Amino acid sequence: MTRARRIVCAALAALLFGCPGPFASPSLVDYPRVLAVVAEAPTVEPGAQVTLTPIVGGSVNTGVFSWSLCVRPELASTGLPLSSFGAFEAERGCDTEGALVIAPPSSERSPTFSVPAGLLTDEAALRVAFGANLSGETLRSLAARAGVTAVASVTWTVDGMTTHAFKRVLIRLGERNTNPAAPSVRINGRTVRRSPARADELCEPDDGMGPIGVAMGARVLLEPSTDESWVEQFTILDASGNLVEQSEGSFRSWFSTAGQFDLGRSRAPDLNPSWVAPRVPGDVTLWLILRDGHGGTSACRWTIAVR
Amino acid sequence: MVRKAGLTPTSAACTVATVLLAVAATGHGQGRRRTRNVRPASDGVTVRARPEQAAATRMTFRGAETANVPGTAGDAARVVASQPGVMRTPFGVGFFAVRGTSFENTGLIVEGFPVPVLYHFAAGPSVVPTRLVSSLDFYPGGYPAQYGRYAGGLVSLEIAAPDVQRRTIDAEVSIFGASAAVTAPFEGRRGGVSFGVRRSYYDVLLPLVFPSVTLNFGDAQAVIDWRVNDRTRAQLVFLGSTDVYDRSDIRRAAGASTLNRDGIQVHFFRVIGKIDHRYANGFALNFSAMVGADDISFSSADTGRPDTNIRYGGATVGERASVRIPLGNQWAASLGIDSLATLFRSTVTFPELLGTSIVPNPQANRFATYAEADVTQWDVTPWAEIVGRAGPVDTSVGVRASYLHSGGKNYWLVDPRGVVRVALDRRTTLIASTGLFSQPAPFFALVPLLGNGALGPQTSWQSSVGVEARLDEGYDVRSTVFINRMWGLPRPTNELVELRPGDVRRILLTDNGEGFASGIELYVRRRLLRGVFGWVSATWSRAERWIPGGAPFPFALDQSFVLNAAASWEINSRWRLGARFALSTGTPTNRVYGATWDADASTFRPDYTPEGERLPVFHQLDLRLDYRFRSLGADMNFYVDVLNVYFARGTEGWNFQYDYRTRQPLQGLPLLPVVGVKAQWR
Repeated sequence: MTRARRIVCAALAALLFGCPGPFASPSLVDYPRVLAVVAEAPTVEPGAQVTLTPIVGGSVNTGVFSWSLCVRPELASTGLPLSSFGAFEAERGCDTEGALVIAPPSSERSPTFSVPAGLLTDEAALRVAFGANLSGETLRSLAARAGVTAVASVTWTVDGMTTHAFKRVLIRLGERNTNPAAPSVRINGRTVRRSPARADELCEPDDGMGPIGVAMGARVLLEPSTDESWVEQFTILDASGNLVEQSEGSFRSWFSTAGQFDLGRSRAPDLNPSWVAPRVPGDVTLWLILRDGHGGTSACRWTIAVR
Repeated sequence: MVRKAGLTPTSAACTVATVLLAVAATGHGQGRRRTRNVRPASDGVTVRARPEQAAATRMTFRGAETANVPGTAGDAARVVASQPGVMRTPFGVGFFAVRGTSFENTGLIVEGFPVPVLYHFAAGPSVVPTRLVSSLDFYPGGYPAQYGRYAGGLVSLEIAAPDVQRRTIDAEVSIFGASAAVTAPFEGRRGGVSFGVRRSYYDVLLPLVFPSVTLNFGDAQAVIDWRVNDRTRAQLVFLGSTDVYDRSDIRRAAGASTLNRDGIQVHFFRVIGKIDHRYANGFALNFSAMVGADDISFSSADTGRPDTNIRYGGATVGERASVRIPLGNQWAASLGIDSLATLFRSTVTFPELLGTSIVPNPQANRFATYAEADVTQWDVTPWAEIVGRAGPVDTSVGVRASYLHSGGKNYWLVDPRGVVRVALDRRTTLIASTGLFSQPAPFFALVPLLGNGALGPQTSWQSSVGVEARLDEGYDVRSTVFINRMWGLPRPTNELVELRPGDVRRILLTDNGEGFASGIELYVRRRLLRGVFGWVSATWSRAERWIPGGAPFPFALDQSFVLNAAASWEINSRWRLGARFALSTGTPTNRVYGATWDADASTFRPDYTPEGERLPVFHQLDLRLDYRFRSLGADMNFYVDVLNVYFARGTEGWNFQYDYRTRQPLQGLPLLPVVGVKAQWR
């Protein structure tokens, strides 16, 4: 198709069907946002402790955090596309109607909660999680086989803005679940990775030669590490009520304070996104969030100098 | 010319009213002029609300003239969309939601047997071409006992007998498709045979604008009609239809290729044979039988997730038998039995549904599940109806008793119905009706994994009271108040169901939804007189749904007010001009006030206010111009049917930014001109 014909066709399509909206990319962090929450550990037993660490961007200030841990009802209805019955139901954190708070709230940046020891036998909590109409025997059976998903809600107030997020923590007996190894990224022949000594998600080039520099408007291929030695097996109670074994996956989400990704999320075979640097000079922060699809999360944050 | 800018519903309504008045006024002053070589248009009344004792309201559309109503793109069946009680459907989708019921509650039947779709994709024409439509009956509710299986309204098409007087060849070419048909008499004009075929060429034009999209439809028909003798008539009908939509994008990045695809295909055929016999003493016997097959599939593919394929289809068979028994001069009884069986096989490949205590992925579930199952549904339904007159009162009482097998369970469904019509004077009739209308679970809801094979039937209790009046100058007026109470409605859920202690299953559909709808309809029609016909229909209604124990909320398709006005003016024997205006208040939708970041799924979840909101008011004007002439030895009809003349950008929903901080309207059909020419050689 010739260029002129393409233009004519695009104009015709725009005339007939309207122009696509100028929506911002979800990968662009241009205001305070919680990008991920790391739970240590993603699965804990009743009576154990879980520490939650937010990965945030869009502000250099610390702000104020407010945390709560609860058990909430699973969605009572879904918005199936075939349905014309009625409204969709919102999925929220501990402000969901009927949620049951199971630990004292915290205002620390990275709080540690103690999970009640009797949670998996607490019928009131189990009814909240699984449904009020189920028998006590069924509730206990579900808790023993599948565990209970607690939800940690966080509110971050900074720079006059408030953002809300939630993270699931699986409360289950006898399941080992660790977070994925911190990811590394190869960029223009150099690799950024997290120093084992650091507690936060900051990554730096491992060659010690300072920040990676790219030209304004340059397209850069980002090649994340493909090591999946951390992948674990686990069992789930599927929709048919059967226990089935699954293995963790690797799901990558990409963010930056400027510039543009061609893929905001990547996994094989589309593993390596490219990032186009902004056309103004300055330091740009990028994040790679790696999730295992089983509650495990790790992150890498680094800086690219755009010249 | 109505300009888009600054157009308000009020100004639009005024504009259309002015157009209608102008059309009507001019029509009154026009004499009928005919040129010698142009065949006159049909003088028959094309739209009628003729009384039927067994039905509270029946709108009957006859003849090809109905196809000249603007906004129908030449298709008679689309006239239903302009009738009272019919809610506007988004994007011109060819399904009708009537009197507060849902799409699947309005039956689409041909010769008494259901078809999976009545319209082709992309606002396409009816699967039954207008030339084959003998009559189209639309029942907004309260339909007679001879019909069943639908809890809402009913659209019933009867197939026309081929012309037995002469051989004819019909052809039509428009910018979207072409058709051809041939009709010939046989057996000394005691019988006629007709064959037709139609094919769109969307798949030629669309890739010029959207290279990755394939869209086409086609259909074929054959009708053999034979008058065995003066009392007996036999007919054999074949209908076949195919629709294909496919959008495929190959994405190549970093040395890898991935497929992004959506597709829908609907193929079906029906073979219907029927025989009618009338005895001299008023007895009448009717028998018809149908065999058919459906093949319906949905598919999608996307990066990082298993391909989705949903396919169901198989055989469908049915029969209808009835006898009419006269009981004196004023009364008659009808007895019948009809049966329908769908023997479908369904296969589903789908990303695994969430189990219990699961942490969702940032992308769609990478695990696929596969399920296949036989989905069998059949019923045997005897019915009886007595209709008669006593003085000024016409009465109809009927009952259907259906033995239904669905989802491995058996049900008895008994639907009593009654209609009373009281002639208040020579022109005015009071009509009241009430009855139960049961419907088996819709087929798509029984598909394994995504549906629930154990869904039971749903029922509506429909009641109405109305007045019909026949006025001077060819005007008829009807006003009806209706209420519908519904229960057993399928509704989405995500709940865990306990099969036995310790054994649970997650279901996505259940059948305990309830609903209520009420409203008032006003219909003013001008019969074809001095070259002008048209109608104005208005419906004020409210439809609600609720879950037992929960508060009512507006039904997803609820529209408080719907107005349709259509008029056609035969300027002279060559030119005809028509206009149609539609206006409706918006459907309910969730009001989003913020969003919460789901740190596991890496996405924002919208937060809704409890009270919701409505989409903006919709309004649209369609115009149609016909020009008839003779050329190449044929009667020709050139037409231009322009949908959405002033380019109103109707809002059918909202597109949201990823964080729900801003939104933009999901816009409906654009300005769409349809140009074509029909030809008939005799």
